[in-house]
Amino acid sequence: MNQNKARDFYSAYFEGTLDEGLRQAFERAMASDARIAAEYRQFVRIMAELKDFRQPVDVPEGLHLKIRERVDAHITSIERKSHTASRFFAWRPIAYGAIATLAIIGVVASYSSLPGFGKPATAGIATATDVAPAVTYHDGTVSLSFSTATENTVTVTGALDGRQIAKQTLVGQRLDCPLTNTGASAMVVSLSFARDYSTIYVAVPGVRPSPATEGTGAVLDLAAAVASRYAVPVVVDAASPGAQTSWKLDGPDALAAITDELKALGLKAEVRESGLVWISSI
Amino acid sequence: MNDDDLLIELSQQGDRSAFDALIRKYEARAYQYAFRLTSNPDEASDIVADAFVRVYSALKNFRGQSSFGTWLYRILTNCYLDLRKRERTRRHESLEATLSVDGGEVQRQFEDEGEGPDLALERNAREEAVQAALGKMPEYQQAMLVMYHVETLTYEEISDALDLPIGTVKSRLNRARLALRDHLMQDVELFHIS
Repeated sequence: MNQNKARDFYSAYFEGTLDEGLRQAFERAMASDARIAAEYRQFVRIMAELKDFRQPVDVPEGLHLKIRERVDAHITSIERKSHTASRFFAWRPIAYGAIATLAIIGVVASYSSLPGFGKPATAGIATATDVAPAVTYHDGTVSLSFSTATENTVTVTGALDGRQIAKQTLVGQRLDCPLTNTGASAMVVSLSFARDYSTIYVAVPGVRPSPATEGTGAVLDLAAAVASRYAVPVVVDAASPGAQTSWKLDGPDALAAITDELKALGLKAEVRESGLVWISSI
Repeated sequence: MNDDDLLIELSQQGDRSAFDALIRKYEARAYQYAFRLTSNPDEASDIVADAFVRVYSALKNFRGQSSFGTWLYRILTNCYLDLRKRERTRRHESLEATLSVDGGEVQRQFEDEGEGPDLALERNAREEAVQAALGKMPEYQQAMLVMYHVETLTYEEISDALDLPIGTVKSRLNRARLALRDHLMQDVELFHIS
């Protein structure tokens, strides 16, 4: 075995993976050729140097933010190209509207099969009473109920991309509509009314709780994160759902995890029936 | 289903916080790899940021044939190769650049801040010399050496990340180690190689 051939086997010999015949030939070559033996010693020395090379390097403080900004800029350019102006875009440069689209499709399907959405002829039950919109949570189902003696229209929109999911006009009718999310992730919808009532935002949990605990974004993003993490619906009934905040959902109690952040924004959170989390102005 | 699988599935379904959690989980490891390749914090940060943009774009097509970590190494490596390619195109100075001195050419060297009797300083100097030697090597050899020796990826994982047969990875890595030895042998004082 000459020096050139021996070089092919340095790594395998060092790692002990040479088969027996080659190992013996390699050792004979080292014993008979001082240059091979010296060169292999150098090789071993370099392997030791590389082992020392594993010391971790310090990560720059702004790295996470830089990554987020780069990803957000990418999403913005995609949205611009596809002309899908996001309703919340002005509030939140960090637009994840494109992501939300998939989840919303699941809800469209659910709504379409429910009385009140997609089937106007059977939309509501005749009533002559005005009852303000209410979001409730029973037996794992989030529902919107609302009745009106005179004409009013409720529109359900994907809160992150502004896409209309459903629209229903009622006259002398009552609407009881489960808000079902069949997607894996939580999604946020806005429930807006043609008159009399302000918009309500609801984060409806998906079928799988998320292990994600930290984030930054708008209050609506926080609502989605809480719904994902704790598998509970979150209602945002506040004038500033686009206010920016950050969160760390590392405890078992959703309220404890978000109270301080919300307080800084002039908001509060409370738990209502069956664990529904309600965020409103202080 | 492990945490990675769940975070990936949720991200694919549009969960923004899940994607953010993926970034948080892997950003330090990605930076370490990128920094070992570039020796430059700004370039390393750029590579990592670009890599996560590519991850975001391609995530819907990720089917878990390799681990997310291995897939990320592949993307990071491609971002690094692209960065160097752009640099060559622009004819920017790089670690491989040479400086003209007294009419001749010498290889550019890192400043040696580790001279002196102190062992820790000598160790730092050796580490810098290894980093400098890596910088002089072809990008693919650098990537392999860093993946194996710094990131402790297995041959199988490198094979997945670089889309090469394991036998090719082994033989190329052996050549890369020999090339590194050739570079470092030039610094006899630091390495006491005889």
